[in-house]
Order: sequence, then C-alpha cells, then structure tokens
Amino acid sequence: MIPTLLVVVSLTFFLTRMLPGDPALAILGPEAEADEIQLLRQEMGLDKSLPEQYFRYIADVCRGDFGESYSYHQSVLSLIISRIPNTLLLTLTALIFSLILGVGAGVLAATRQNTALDYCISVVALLGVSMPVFWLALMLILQFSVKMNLFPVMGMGTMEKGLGDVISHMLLPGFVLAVIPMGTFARTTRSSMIDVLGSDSIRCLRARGIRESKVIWIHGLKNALPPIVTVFGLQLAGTFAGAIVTEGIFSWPGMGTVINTAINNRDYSLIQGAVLFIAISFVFCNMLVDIVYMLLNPKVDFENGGH
Amino acid sequence: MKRRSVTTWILAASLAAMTLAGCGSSNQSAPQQDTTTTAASEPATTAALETKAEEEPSGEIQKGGILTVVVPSSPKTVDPKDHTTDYEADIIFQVAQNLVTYNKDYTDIIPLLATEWSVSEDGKDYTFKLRDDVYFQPGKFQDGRQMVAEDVKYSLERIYNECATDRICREFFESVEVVNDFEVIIHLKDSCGPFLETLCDIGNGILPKEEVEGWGDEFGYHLVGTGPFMLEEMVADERVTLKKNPNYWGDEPNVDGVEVKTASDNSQIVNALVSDEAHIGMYLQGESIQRAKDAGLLAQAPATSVTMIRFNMQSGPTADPKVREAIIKAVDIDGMVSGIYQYGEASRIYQPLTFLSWGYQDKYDSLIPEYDPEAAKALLAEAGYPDGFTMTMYIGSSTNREKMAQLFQYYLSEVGITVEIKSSTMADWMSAVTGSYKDSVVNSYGITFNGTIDPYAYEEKFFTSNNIDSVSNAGGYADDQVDEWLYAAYKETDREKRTEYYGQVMEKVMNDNVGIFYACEARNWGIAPKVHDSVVRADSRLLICTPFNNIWIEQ
Repeated sequence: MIPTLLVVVSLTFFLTRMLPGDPALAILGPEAEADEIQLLRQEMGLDKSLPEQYFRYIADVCRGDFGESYSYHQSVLSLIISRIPNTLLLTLTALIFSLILGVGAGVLAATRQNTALDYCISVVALLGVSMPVFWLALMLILQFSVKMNLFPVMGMGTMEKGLGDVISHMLLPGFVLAVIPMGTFARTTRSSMIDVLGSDSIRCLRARGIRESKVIWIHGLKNALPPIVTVFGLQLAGTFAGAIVTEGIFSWPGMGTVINTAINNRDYSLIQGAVLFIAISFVFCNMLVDIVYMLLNPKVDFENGGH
Repeated sequence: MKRRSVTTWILAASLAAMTLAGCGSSNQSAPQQDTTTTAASEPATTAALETKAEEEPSGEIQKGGILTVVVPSSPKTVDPKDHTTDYEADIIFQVAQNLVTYNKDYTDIIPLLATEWSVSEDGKDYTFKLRDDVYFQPGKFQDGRQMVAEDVKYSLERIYNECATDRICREFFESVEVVNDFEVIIHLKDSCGPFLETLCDIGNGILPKEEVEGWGDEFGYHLVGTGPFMLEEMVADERVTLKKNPNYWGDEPNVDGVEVKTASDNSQIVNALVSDEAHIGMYLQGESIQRAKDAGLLAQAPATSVTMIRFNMQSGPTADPKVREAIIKAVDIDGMVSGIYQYGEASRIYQPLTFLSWGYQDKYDSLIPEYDPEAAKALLAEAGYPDGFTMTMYIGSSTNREKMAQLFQYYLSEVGITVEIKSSTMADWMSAVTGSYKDSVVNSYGITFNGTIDPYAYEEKFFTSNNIDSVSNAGGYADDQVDEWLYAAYKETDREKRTEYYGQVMEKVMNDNVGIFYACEARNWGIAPKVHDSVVRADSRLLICTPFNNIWIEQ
C-alpha cells in the first residue's frame, strides 16, 4: 500500500508540474505586473528547483502536512476533510439507491428471461449506462426545476432549514449520479443470475420444494453476488469520478468542486492532496471488496467444487 | 408474491423516471416565461445593450427580504489584502468601505468615509476630513467602536506593507499622518496622477485593527468593516451570507440581508433566476445571455475593458510595421465584431482605451487603417511576403475568443496569410504569452483587459517598456518617447494635462499599428423583475446599498 501511494504522490507531483500554466499567473490574472508575479512565485516556493520542491513536499507529506491551498487560503487537509462528508452523502446515497434498484431490476429480468419485461429492463439499463451525465443533469434541471419548479436548481440544503431542504437538494444530483451504476448493476445482476439460476444447486433446491421466491432472492442472489460486489467496488470509484462533473453542475460543495477549482487555478498542493486522497480511497475500496469477496467466495467455491 | 409486487413497483418507478429523463431532450429550448421577449439581434452598438437601470420602481419601497445573488465562482477569502477575484471584491464592498468611491455612472469619484479632501500644490499630500458618525460593525474583538483617523492609517499602511499586489501606487506611497481623530494626510514621495482612483480599490477599505490582528489568518472569513452589511457566514463553494448592519451610518439598507451562491455552470445561473431561486445573476456569458434576454431578465452595461488582438512587436513577421498594417487592413473589424457577439453583448471600439474614460478622445478613432484587402496584399508584397506567410494566434479558450480567432483566420486567408490558432486554458495562455516577444512562437494573441476610467490602467499597462515581461505588454512594445509621456502622465495630477499626454501616446501607438482593439464586452446580468433600484455599472460591482442606490425587493 505504501509503495502504491508513494508512486501516486510522485506521479501527481511531476504531472501537476508538467501542466502548462503558472500558478502565480493563474492567481493574479492577466492584469498583474511582472514583479508582483515574481514576488508571489517566491512566496509559494516555486522559484526553487524541482527536486528541492519534490523532496520538501515528500518530507511534509510524511509529517502529515499536505500544504496550504492558495486558492482557498486554507490547509489542504482541513479543506479535504471538510468536503468528504458532502461528497460521501451524495455518492453513497446514490450508490445504495442504485444498488437496490439495479439489482432488483436485474433479478427480475433474469427470472423473466426473454420476456417483454426483460427486454425493457435491458434497454433501459443500456440507456442508463450510456447516458452522458452532464446532459442528463441539464435536462432534469430544465424539466423539474425550471419548468415544474419541484426541486432547487443547485446547492446543498442545510439542516437548519429542515430535513426536507436537504433531501430536495439531493434528489436531482443523486439521481443523476445513480443512473450509470443502476444500469451497470442491472446488467451484471441479470447475467450473473442467469448463470446461477441455471446451475445444478438451484435445480436441487427447487427439487426439494423450497419456495420459488426464496430460491431466487436468497439462494440465487447470494450465489450471484460476487460479480456484483466487484462491480460495486468499481462503481464506488466511478461514482466518485462522476461526482466531479455532477457536483460542478449542481454547485454541490464537495470534493468534485474542490478538484475543479484546484485544476483551474493550478493549485498544486490541493491537486496533489486531492489525488492522494482519491488514491487512498481507491486502495481502501479495493481492500473492502477483497474482504467482502473472501467472505462470500469460500461457499461458492465449496458448492461448485461439490458438484 | 408480495415481495415481487414491491420490486415491480420500484422498477416501474425507476423506468418512469428514466423515460422522463429521456423525454427532457424535446424540451431542450429555453423555458417559457410570461414576460415579453425584448428585441433581438440588433447591431453590436452601445444602444443595443439592455439597460434595466432606467426602469422606475412601481409603487412604494418595500423593506425586508433576503437578496439572493448568484456568481460563477465562489469567494474564497474576503480579506481586502488577499482577495484576487471580482466575486470576492463584491462581498468586501458590502462590508468594508473606502475613503472615496466611484459614482453611479462610474465617471467620477465621490466621498464615502471621507467628507472632503484636498491635494497640496506639489501633489504630494492628500488631506482627508473623515465622517465623525461612523462606527465599526461589532465583532469578536471590539464592540462596534467609532472609526477614527488611526484606523485609516492602519488600514492603508497594512495594504502598502503586506499586500501581494500593488493596490496603493506603492512606488509613490510614503505614509499616513494622523492630524486628529477625523483628519489624515497621506504623504506621497512624488505626485501621482492615478492615486485618488487607487484609493477606490476595495483593497483600501478601512478596517479595525483589533479584528484584523485578533482573527489573524482567519480574518478572511470574518471581515469586519463599516459597511451596510455584516458578514454572517462564509462557506467556500457553498454560500456567503450577509446581514443588515443595524448601526450603519448611511441610509438603512432596504433588504434584511444578502445571500451569495455559486454556480460554476453559467446556464445554471439563468436556471436559478427563472425558477425564482435567485434575484440577481452576475457575469452571464454566451448563450446564457440570450436565455436571460428571452426571459426578460437581461441587464447590460458597457464594461471598462478593452478586447484586443496584439502583435509580436519584436520577432517574426509582425515585427515589420508594414506587415502589421497589412494585417489590420485585411480584417473587416465591424464584420468581425458582429460575427463574434451575436447576442449584442459588446460594442465596437477603436482605441486601446475604454470610451468611458475621461481621457478618451474620439479624434484618434480614424487612425485605424481602413479595411482594404487589395491594399493589404500590396503591402505584404512590399514587405517581401508576396505569397503570404504562416503565423500563430494564441487565445485563452472561451467562445468569444474562439470566434474571434476563426474570423481572424478567415480574413487573413483572403490575403494569403495562414493563421494557426492555439487555444488553451487561461492559465496556459498566460504562461505561453508572457515574454513571448523574445521569439517568433507567438505572433499574435487575443485578450480582454479590464481597467478603471483612468487611461493609466490601459495605456501604461499596454505600452510601457517596463511591462514587456508581463501579460499586459507581452507583445513587447517598447518606445522611449512613449515611456517618457507615460511617466509624465503618471506623475501629473491635472486631468487635462494627463489627457494630453495620453493622447500623444495614443497617436503614436495607433500609428505603430500595435494591434486591433475591437470590442468593449458588456457586463451581462440577469435581474428578476421584483428587484428594484439595481444598478449595473461598467465595473460590474455589486451595488446594493450605496450613496446612490438602495435595492428593494417586491414581496
């Protein structure tokens, strides 16, 4: 894990430095004069040699100091920590929502294979997977916020105005974020379920006279879970990436907005901090998936091996 | 089979939602509004700009309500010393105040915290008499004490000593002398023409020392001043809330507070206005302008800015004055301007100076070489390029700039010049262009510069040889005589004499064909019909409660 993160830190360090554009210029704007820019470059330590900047940065990171974001005038660590809950609130809700709906649809499609319902679900799932997120977001806003005035156009609600405010602000961005994973979950579940339902173990269960709903939803789904878990892990990361676009459109004050600002302003330490954070969460997600997989897998192996 | 029915229901619901989402595409066009559509696509002149300020309030002024304003980028710090963006300046402007400020039309300077001022003969000493009824907003470190001369000294010297950018004519500023509680003298090392205007910069707002030092680095989120509104809460990327200052020395604000929200996606600003979530949307661009116009919300004002194409003056083919003249002759500038600004969001200009400046003299307009592609070809042949050549045009990617580059490319292709367009983000553009006069990589570039009403903010920035390593004079214009005039104009305090100097500079640079100064882009705001007494000024400042306006909302 440590080597992975070291590679990530080093890569982002050099990649951000390779980005064309001078941070001091980006901050001060075209109206600034040469000596002002020089002064700011010094203040930001950009006048030092690249290796010196690099080792200084690595040393700082080891001490838990991720530097100061000059576009936010705030320490990178406290900025990221303050934004994670906002992003998690949106992405996790969207993901859980899409998991329940997607898996439900996938199971339905699998049990009614080659019926009208199955085709319907497959087409809708395919649409969901291929939908451009920003387009969907803008269309939903035009329809539900501007025309029908049902949901707020942008921003995050506050608890001070009640739970309703928070939920109404969350519905549109949450739905937009949920669409792609929903489609993916439905497709994965469908194919995995079709395999499992055709297996001998399920035939066995049916032969023993166990209720069909129990066979499908408990035994069948359980055996079909491993690929779904893998996809869940991938989607967790994917939703996070999707949040960068969605948060931008809905002005949701999360990590996505921070990353956008950081890149536009060439805010080196913030870009590095944010990428490192994403890397850590990827590593963490993968670990989580592995653990869940291990919990599920032995039984599957045992049953398959048994036949 | 109860479980199945539940899942079927959920599925049906999600299906319905997805279908609806798909249907949205047919409703892509701008939302229908009750308000009538204003006349569309007039020629790009000042007259075509939508001015809402004229509109008279209907009925009695109503007090109360929270004014909601949407801006494209979140304010990050509102310490006058550290702020960099207009969005931050707009917040500071509500909370902290300067000795002097601009008037409603942005043509002159009026007193704010000062009551009157005088300048000594030699132009080195500015004496200000202060209001004696001004109190700071109560904060954590003081309970709303009176503002006195000592605060002026503290605030101005803080900007002089600690600000990263020069907001106070640093080379000329010397010190502030406190005469008594309500009188200060600002001493300069030498006379300085733009100094009084500099004092209008929001960086020079008057602050209480206790709060600045008490909060330390956090003062940027806890700004305290003497203005009509107090900073209540500031969460970056989320919102800034201001509430009415109960002890404000001036007219009581009509609104109870202000909420500033951020929408990085420009179309979202108009969406927020149309869906009644916001009262004012600032800095509209491109298609959003048309949408705001269609919804009857658009308010425009010509900006104090210059949008231009500059040539590399020292390297490459454009170092030859004949080539520069040929390029200008090859471009139908009127056609280009109406092609770029389809929504009428700009006016045609002729000189590297805003026509709103007191130093503007229209006699120089005619110095631009006239559109004449045949003459351009002849000039090119004379300069040794009978078959044309290939040159680059660097732009920071934005719709307006890209359209300009394409039209520029088209016009030059007509006289045999091939233009390669290099479009990048603003940050990349700035580093590519800075110092580019040294070699022949950047032959021309496009940019909009914002300034004030002082010609100094344009001519000095664009043409002094001191600035050839800055973005503002990246083309590398250097001329000893022009430098001399500019310096004389900078040191002069008499406006008439300054106008004369700047006129001489203008004549010289226009004859040198340093670039194509083609447009003054408008300030484009969306304002809800229930907002009254709003002012869209050339500098796009958010003016809510000032000596000349006081916004109120129809309940």
